[in-house]
Amino acid sequence: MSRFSGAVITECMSSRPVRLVCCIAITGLIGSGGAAQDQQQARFTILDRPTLTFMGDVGLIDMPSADSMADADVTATAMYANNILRTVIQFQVTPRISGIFRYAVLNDFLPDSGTLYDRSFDIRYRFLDETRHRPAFAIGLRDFGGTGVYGSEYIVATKGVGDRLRVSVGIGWGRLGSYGGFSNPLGILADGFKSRATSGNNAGELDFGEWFRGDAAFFGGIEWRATDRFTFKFEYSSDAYEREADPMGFTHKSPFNAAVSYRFDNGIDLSAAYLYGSEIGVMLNYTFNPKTPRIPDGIDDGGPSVVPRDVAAARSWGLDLSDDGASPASRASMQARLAQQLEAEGVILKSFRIEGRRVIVHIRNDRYDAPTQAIGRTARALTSVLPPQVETFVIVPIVASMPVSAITIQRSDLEELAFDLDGSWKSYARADIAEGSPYRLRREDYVPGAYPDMRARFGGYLVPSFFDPDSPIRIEVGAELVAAYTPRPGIVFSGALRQPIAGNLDDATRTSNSVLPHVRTDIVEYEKESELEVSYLTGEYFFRPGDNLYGRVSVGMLERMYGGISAEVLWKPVEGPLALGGEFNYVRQRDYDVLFDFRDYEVATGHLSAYYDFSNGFLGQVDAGRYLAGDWGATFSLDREFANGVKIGGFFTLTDVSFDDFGEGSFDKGFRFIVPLSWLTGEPSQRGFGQTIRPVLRDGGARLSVRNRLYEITRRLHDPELKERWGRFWR
Amino acid sequence: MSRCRISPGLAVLAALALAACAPAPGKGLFKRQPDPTAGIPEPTSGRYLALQQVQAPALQVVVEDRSQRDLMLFSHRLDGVELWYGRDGVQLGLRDGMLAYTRGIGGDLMAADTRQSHALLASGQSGTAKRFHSHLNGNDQIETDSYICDIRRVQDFTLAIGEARVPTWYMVETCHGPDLIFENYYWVDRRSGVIQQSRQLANPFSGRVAFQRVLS
Repeated sequence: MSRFSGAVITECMSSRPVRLVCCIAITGLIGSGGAAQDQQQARFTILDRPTLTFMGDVGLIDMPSADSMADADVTATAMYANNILRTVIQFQVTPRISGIFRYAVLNDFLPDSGTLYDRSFDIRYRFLDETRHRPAFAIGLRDFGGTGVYGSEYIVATKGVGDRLRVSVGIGWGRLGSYGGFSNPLGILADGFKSRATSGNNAGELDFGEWFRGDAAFFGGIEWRATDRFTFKFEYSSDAYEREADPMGFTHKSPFNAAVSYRFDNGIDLSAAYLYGSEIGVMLNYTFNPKTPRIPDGIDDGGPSVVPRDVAAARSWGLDLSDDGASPASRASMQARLAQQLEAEGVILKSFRIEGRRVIVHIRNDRYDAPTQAIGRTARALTSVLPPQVETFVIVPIVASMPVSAITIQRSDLEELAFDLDGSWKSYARADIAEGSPYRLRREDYVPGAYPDMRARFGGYLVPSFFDPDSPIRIEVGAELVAAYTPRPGIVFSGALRQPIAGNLDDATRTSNSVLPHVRTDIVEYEKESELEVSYLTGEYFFRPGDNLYGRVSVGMLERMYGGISAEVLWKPVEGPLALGGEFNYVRQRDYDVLFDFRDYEVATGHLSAYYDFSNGFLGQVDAGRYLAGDWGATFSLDREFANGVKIGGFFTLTDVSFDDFGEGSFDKGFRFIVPLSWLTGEPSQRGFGQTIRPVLRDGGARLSVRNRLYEITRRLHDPELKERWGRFWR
Repeated sequence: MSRCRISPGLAVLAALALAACAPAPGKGLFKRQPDPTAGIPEPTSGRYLALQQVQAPALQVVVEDRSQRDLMLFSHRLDGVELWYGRDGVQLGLRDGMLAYTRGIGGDLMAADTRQSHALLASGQSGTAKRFHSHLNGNDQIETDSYICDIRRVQDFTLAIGEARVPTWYMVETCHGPDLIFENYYWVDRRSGVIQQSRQLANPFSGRVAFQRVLS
C-alpha cells in the first residue's frame, strides 16, 4: 500500500467542470502527516485488520480464530474481567506466524487470597490460507512455556461469508477442552493422548509432552463487522474457567459469550463483553506497525546537493577550478571547508587524502540512524569542495576508529543520478562496497584536531523493571553523564555516571532464593545500595587484525555488576550472511554500591558465536560457552529487524543447570525490542529505546553484558544492511 | 445539484484547490508588495546567504497547507534540473518548471519523471500523460508511484507578476494513482511555453507547493 494515501475524500461532482476542485471536501486530517498516515491505515485496513480476543490473540472473545494481523503488526492489549487483569503483547512475526507474551494478574487465585502473577507465551501458525471455497486454518499453542494456567492447544478454521461476516470453528485441548469435552480423537493414534497431567508443571519448561493430550472440545463463533467501526462477536467457548471458579469467584453459567468492539482511526480498539453468563469484561488494544512510523521519511534539513563541475556553478560555490588540490595550502583549505560542511550534517571528518583523481575520506557519523544517509551527504558535500579532476570518492566510515567498510562512488554517477527516478537503486548498483581494512587511518592524513578526541553528553536516563509481584512495573529516572576520550585511533577511555532522581526500583524487597551463585538475582541489593553509581568505566582497544577481522579488548568496570577484562575477535566479511566470533572474559562481581569495590565472586566466562543474516529481515545468533554462574550451554536468538532500525526478537538459553536448580521459569528466555528515537520523533538520531524483557531473571544462562560487542557495532556498515537502507543515500 | 460519492481506496493530498475556485485562478497566492521577502524569517543556510550575495534569480514559493512562504534562490542546474535553495537550506528542483525534487520539506519527493505532462503543457494541449514520483517510505525503501493524468487547457489568463502582465494558458492536470488523486495548476506563458506560475503537489505529507517566477 502506498504511503501516499493522505486522507479520505468525499468527492462531489459538479455540473461546472472548472469548479470541480472547489467541491472536493477533505474529511481527513491534513495538517500532520501522522494523522494522514493513521487515516490511511484506518481507511484501507479497517475491514482487513481483525479484532482480538480477551486473551490478546486474534479471534473471537476468548476463542482464537485462524485470522492473522498484517505482517509485522504489534498489538498491546489490556483487559479486565472479574479479578483478572491481562496485559498482552502480540507480534505478527511473519505473515503466518504470530507470537504472544502475556502477563496476567489473577487476584485471589492462590490459597490464602494470594495473587498469581502469570507469564505466558503463545504461538500460532496459519498453515492454510482462505480461498473461495476453503477456510483458513491455524494451529496454536497458548501458554506453551509458562506456568500452565492458560495451557491449551487448538486447531481452528475461519471463513468469511460475504464481506462482513466471519465464522470460526475449532477444536481445543487443555484449557480449551475443559468445557463440553470428549475423549481425545487423537487417542486413535496412541493411548497416551487420552490423558493429560492436570496442573501444569509450574516451572516454565516446554511442556510438549502434554500438548494435544487429554479431553478435546469444539468451540466456535461468528464475528460481524457491522460497520467500519463496530464489530459484534458471539461465541461458544470450550473454556470452563475451572481454575478461576473456586478461588476467585469467577462464575461460569453459560458457554456463550458476546462482545462488541469499536475501532478508532488511530489504531485503538475498545471492546466490552458479556462473559459466561455472569461477568463483564473490558479491553483496550493498540495496534501499530514498525514499518510505518508516524513521520514516514523523517524531519530533516535539505542537506548538501550535488554540485556540477561547470564553471559557473563552481564559482558560485567558491571553488577555484584551477586548483588541483596538490599544494598543501589548497588541500588544507578544501579539507577545512569539507569538515565544516560535514560538521553541519553531524558527520565528523577524521582524515582527508587526495591521490590524483581519487579522494579518500574517513568519517564518523554522529547523527544519522541510517549510515547511508551520512555516506550520501558526505558524497554530495565532496562535489562542492573538490576540483573537477577528482572523479572517485572513497568514503570510509569508521566505528571506534576502525575502518569498517570503504564505499567508492564515482562523481559522474552522482551527477547523472541526482534526479533520476531510479537513482537510489542505480547508485547502489554502481557504488563499490569493499572491506575497510586497506584504508587504515594514517597520521599524515588526519584533519586538524582529529585526535585526541573527547566527547561527553549529559542527559537523563530511564530504567524500567517488570514483573516484581509487589509492583509489576517499577521505574527509575535520573541524570547521566557519559564521556569518551580517544587519545589515538582505536583507544577509548569511557565512563558513565548515573544519579537516580526519582523512582521505586530501590523499594523492591524480594531477595534471591537462587541456589546458584547470585550472578544476577542480587539485582535488588544493587538497587538498594547504589546511589551515585559508576555504570561503566573502561579502557577499550579496537583494532583490525586482518582482512574481515575485528578485535576488541576492554578492561575496567565492564558493566553494572561486573568488572574485569574482556577480549573479543570477530570474523565478518563486508558482504555475506555469516559472521563468527569468540569472546573471553575474566570478571569479578562488583559491589552492590556500583562504585569501585568488588565482591568475592570471580569467574571466567566466554562464548563462541555464530551470526547469520537471513536477508529477509531475520537475524539468527547462537552463542555457546560458559555463563556467569559457571554453567555451560548455549543461547539461541532470532530477531526480526526492519530497515528503519526497529528490531523485535526473542531468545532462550539452555545450560547444564538443571531446571530445578534454575528455579522459577526452568531456563532463561525472553524477548527484546529496540525502537530508534528517529522512528518515534522523525528527527535524525542514533539513540533509541531498547528493552529485554524476561519473565523471570535468574542466575542460570546469564551472560556478561559488555558494551561494544563487535558484531553490533560493525554490521550496519556492511551489506546487506547498507543495501536495505540505501534509499536514504539521497536523503 | 451535485452528487457526492465516498471514494474508498482513494485519498487526496491536502487542501485541494480552494484558490482555484476564485474567479481569477491563483489570485492572492503571491502577495504583491514592495518587498516580497517581508514576513519571512532570516536566512540560516550558508548557501542561501552566498546566493543572496551574488543576487541569484528568485522564485516565490508558498507551501500552501502551512502558508509557509519563501523567496527561493537559484543555485545551479544539473541534468536539466534547476535547483533552488530556501532560507533554511530547503531545496526544490524544477525540470522545465515541473517539480522534480524536494529536500527538507517533509515527506520529500525524491525524484519525479514528468516529461509527458510537460510536453502537453508547454504546447498548450489537452491530453493524457503519465507521470512517476518516487518517495522514501517509513521503512527506508524507495517507492515509485505511477499516475495517469488528464491535462486540460481551461482558459486564457493574463497573469500579473509584479508589474508585468503575462498572457498565459491556465491549465489543470488531474492525476489518478493507485490510491491518490491530485490536481496541479499551471499558468503557461502563451508566447514561450514557459511555466510562469504553478501549484504542484510535492507529496501528501507537505501538500502542494505554489511557485511564481520573479521576473527581473
